[in-house]
Amino acid sequence: MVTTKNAGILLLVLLAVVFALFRLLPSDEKAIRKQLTVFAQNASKKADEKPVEGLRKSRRIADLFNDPCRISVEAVDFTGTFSRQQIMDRILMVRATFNAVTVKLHDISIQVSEENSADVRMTLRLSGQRQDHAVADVQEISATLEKIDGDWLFTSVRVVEVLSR
Amino acid sequence: MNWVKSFFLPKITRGFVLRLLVVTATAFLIFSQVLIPLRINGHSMEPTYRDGGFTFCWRFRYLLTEPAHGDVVVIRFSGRRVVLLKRVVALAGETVEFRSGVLFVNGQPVDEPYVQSASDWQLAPRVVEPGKVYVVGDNRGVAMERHHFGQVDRQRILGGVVW
Repeated sequence: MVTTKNAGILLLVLLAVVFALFRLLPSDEKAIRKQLTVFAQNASKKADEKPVEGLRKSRRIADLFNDPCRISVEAVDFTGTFSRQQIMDRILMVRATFNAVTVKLHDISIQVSEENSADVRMTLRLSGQRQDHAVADVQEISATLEKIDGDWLFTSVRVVEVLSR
Repeated sequence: MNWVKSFFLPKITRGFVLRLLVVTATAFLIFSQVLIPLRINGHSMEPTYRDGGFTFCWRFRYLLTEPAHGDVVVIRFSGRRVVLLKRVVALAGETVEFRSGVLFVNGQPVDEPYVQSASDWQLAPRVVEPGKVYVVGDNRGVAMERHHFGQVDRQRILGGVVW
């Protein structure tokens, strides 16, 4: 016998199934978020990190970029089209200037187009220790990723100038 | 003492569940859209706002008015999770500069009682573009290169601080 109570429970179960399917099914947005997580995890550095580990992490970050990739970070004069090796060298250099650093990405918005391309906006928050002083920085990042051979790779990255002197 | 018991251990009735839902939804709407809680992380607005402090962003602060000199505004990046607190020092069309740590707007020195740290900042005069305001933190004790300041789009101002 179908009662209001039973119908309610059935509706809740259906909603739970739909929600679970939505959460579990793979999607381009999830794949891109995974790449961003890989970026943040490997950009971060512990105080006792070994050089080999730093090299491995830099390589992992560089692997997220298309070869070549357009990058625009005007504040540190790193603007142009760079090969994966150049990007890796730069990442190694920047990471080496920190004793320890934590990188987190917030407020990520992803817009996937039909042409295997996605526009991503996010806020990068960095906190760490450089020599004898604490370092904290926040930047807005605008990036384009393209699905190349099944992987979502950065094809352009730009630091948005929120405050300009 | 009966009311204490009924307050902490209420009977789960349909009315109670409805009231609970309404209160939860209202609180969620208010604290996510109107009064956004902010935990201060950093030293750029010291001594006015100290690291670890707490305040709220009042979203309707500039609904009918425009940011003015001396206002502390909340500036967003790609969303609302990470924001900046900065003080408005110059408006569109005004000329701003620093001479030996002293702020000059339109060629006149500005009295800034909220600045407690001495600085040696030097910044050549520049005109604030239309649709923008010029913001600086209160803590001028740090090197200019390490301080986030400059002109920002009016559209990026989320609101003002409550205190």
